[in-house]
Amino acid sequence: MNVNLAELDERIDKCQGILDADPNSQIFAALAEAYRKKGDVQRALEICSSGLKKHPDYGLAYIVLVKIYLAQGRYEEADMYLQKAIKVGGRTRSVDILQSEIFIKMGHTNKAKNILERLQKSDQQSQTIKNLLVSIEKDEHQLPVVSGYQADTKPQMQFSNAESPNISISTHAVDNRNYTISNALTIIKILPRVLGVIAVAKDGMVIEGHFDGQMTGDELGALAVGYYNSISQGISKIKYGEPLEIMIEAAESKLWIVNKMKMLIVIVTRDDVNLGSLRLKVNEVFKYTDFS
Amino acid sequence: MLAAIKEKKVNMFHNALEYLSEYRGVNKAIIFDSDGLVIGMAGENETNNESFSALMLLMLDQMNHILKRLDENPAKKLVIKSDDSWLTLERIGNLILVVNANSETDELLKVRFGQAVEMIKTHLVDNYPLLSK
Repeated sequence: MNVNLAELDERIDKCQGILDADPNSQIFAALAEAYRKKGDVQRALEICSSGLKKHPDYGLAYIVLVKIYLAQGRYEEADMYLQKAIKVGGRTRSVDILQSEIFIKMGHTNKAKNILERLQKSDQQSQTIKNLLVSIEKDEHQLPVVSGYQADTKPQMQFSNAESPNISISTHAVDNRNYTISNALTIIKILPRVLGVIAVAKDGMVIEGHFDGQMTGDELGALAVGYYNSISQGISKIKYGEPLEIMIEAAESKLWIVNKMKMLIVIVTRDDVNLGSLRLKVNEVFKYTDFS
Repeated sequence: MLAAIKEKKVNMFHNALEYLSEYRGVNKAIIFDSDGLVIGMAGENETNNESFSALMLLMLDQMNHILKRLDENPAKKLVIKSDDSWLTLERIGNLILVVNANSETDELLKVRFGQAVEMIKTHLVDNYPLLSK
């Protein structure tokens, strides 16, 4: 579903060409980053690790390595290499954001919050910082999605009883809370392996969305409404009702379209997403979201 | 006089379809090729199978047309849920397996669907290796 896949392939070809011509080039970091963005994190890891053996003082490559480990859910390694990046390249704003992201994934939300609040003072418009702070806020209020979110790093989810697999949350803590659509999308976007999420009206107008920068909201919105309409027309001929959910699995991505009143919520994920876990978390978020 | 021993051929297509159709809430399981030719069916037979397969192919083609515009490969699997129905399609080589279930079914149907897909894949590899590519 990556609309700039061709561009990434072109970048990979160029970087690979430079690296072939000069195996000692520092272009390996850019090559690894391109593979990571394409979703081939294993290849990215191999290239980056191999390049770092030749260039152990190349700070940018450590940053790429940290992102790769984050994508793989290997947070301790990510933290270890971030410290190396700091050692060779010093602290920068992007290093601090990565540090806070690792802290959140490892459950050290207070440390992450301290960093993010400091960063926000100098850049109040940063959407990345806002997204991370929202995720921490949910954690502090023990909202369901965050409990599910933590389940990724601590896979032993607690079920209250065998018949009703509720996530172990204090539900009364959220009785008086409702998510706005914006909040809900922000939470969904930071779930593992989610590439993008948008809310789109059924006329194709995008209401709001969050992406990894590889696709635009308008493209994804048009795609989703196109899917939805063609499916609706098709199944009406076999006397199906209005589709409530559509899940499309392609080679490199999955597209999940959920019909919510007057809008469609479109979630694009990598192909290796855990759909059961994602569904559980997203449904918990939707339960507390006001779609009216 | 020795009696001729006839090898009993196992029809894995039929077994896979039966396996799916006996699950709770499943109305119909059908398998057809990429031209819409119905190869096997189990479950209720109220709708015309040829029309049904043509419609499913049309839906897949529309889907793939949009995916192609986004440099994505053709859809491998499609799941559509409505208030009272649950439709699952999966492409297996040159064939398409579809299960049409009602609201009585549950998420475990996915597991059974996956097992049926494996049975069909194995059958294709064993008997029609060219089709399975």
